[in-house]
Amino acid sequence: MTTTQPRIGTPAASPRTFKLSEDWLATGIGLVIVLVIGAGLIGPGPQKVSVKAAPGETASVQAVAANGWEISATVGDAATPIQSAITDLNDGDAILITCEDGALSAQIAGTLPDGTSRPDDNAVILVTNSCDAPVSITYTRAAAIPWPIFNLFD
Amino acid sequence: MSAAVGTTQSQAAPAARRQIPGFVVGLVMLLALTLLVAELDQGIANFFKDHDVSKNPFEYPLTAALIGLAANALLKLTGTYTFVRPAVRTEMYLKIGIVLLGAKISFGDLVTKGTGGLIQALIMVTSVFFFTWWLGGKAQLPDTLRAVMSSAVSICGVSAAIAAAGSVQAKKEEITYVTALVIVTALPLMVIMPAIGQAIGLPSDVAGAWFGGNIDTTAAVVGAGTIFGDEAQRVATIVKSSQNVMIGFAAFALALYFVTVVKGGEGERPSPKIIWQRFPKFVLGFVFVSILASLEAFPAGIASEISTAYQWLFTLAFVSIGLDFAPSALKEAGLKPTLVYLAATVFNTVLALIVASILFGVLF
Repeated sequence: MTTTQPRIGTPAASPRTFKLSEDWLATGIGLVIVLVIGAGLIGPGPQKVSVKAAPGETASVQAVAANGWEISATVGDAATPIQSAITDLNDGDAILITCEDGALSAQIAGTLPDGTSRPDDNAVILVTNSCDAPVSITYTRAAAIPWPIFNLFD
Repeated sequence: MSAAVGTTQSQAAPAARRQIPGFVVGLVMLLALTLLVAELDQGIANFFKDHDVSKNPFEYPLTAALIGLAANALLKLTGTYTFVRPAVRTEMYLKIGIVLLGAKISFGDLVTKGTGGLIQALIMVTSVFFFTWWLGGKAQLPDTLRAVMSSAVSICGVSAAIAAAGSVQAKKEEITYVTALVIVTALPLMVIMPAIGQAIGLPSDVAGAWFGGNIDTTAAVVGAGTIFGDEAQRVATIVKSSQNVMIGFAAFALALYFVTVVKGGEGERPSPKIIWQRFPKFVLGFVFVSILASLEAFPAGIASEISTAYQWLFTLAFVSIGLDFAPSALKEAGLKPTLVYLAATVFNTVLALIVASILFGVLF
């Protein structure tokens, strides 16, 4: 009598069951994570930053680099739209918001005014107020699932 | 035969269901260990910073593997290791992490380094495979074990061993021995190779190519690259992925060789479909995400968040390496196969250093 050892062969395919291989499953999960993070559903949590500049002043505030910010602005007590508002902030970006003749406009600043610096791992929002009334800018960003342990390895 | 298969399938589902509690508990435990690694890593980095050492010499893959080893010993002592084992999915965590790593690698870089990686893989896979095959023959190992071992050493460890075992219809215990050898040698190599690379002053891309060309498990390759530095991590991953895509071709060639030469034409000739069946599909996800990154789909903030996510997944994989470690399995493998495997690993290490130095130090 001979004993036969179990041998590994090509797995038998079943016509009625569907099983995703580990490779496809890993690829799918990876792409879902990219999609979820890319869509901003998880990230550094809800954010709100405000900056106020009195007439003739320049003020600045730093914000986390992220997409999809909502911006509100007031000149004096009146809500005022910002022309060319920039809602996506990258690390090291400097967003210059200028108030002239009661109107607000935004642009990416090439050089920064004296006394302000460009951060490496955040964006900076600068407000230069040449209007007669105080200017207030608020950037808000909601995240569906805040992830407080982000950047723990940094 | 069909009845037997049916019985196996009907038994598989309840068996999988029984593993769910262990998987959930194990995953929670792994996440807690990963969090512990992150906290320890910060503490260790701060310790060195306070002592005026700017670069932390105790990188997190090492911390993670040690935490995994400690947990491994504790779980075995308390008899709970088998219960949580379903969550120890080193390859799975790593593959997801590699897909995400694509966000940090431009497609141009992927093509350049990948071309170098493919050339290196062709040289390494053929040389190391035939050396191990020859040495196994000298040691009078069975042909099936020689095939499984040669594939594992020359291509990518466990996955290649499984693919080769399917092609040559190896015995179950042969794949178990080879898998044990792969895991037991990978962990020391993950620690020793970056230290040697730093001691002899290897450039980052040569070091990465060396790790990718030599260490058998992809997890330990990424771990060694991470210990060495970011550039080494990227090159090591690209080179290893290039090597991984060889699995299908090797499985097909082996199946063809065994049917035509070893079995003298008896049995069913293998179909080229096997090449696609064994192809590591997660590499496609890695390339796809890299293309997205090259099209500037990810602003810096998003790319940074994706980096954090893959660091977590890699840490899960590194902790799992420690949890997988089972040196006692070497006893079961026997002395001769162990010596053949170790000799092949030394040959692989030396050859990979020479080839990586020429390809990535001079040509690419």
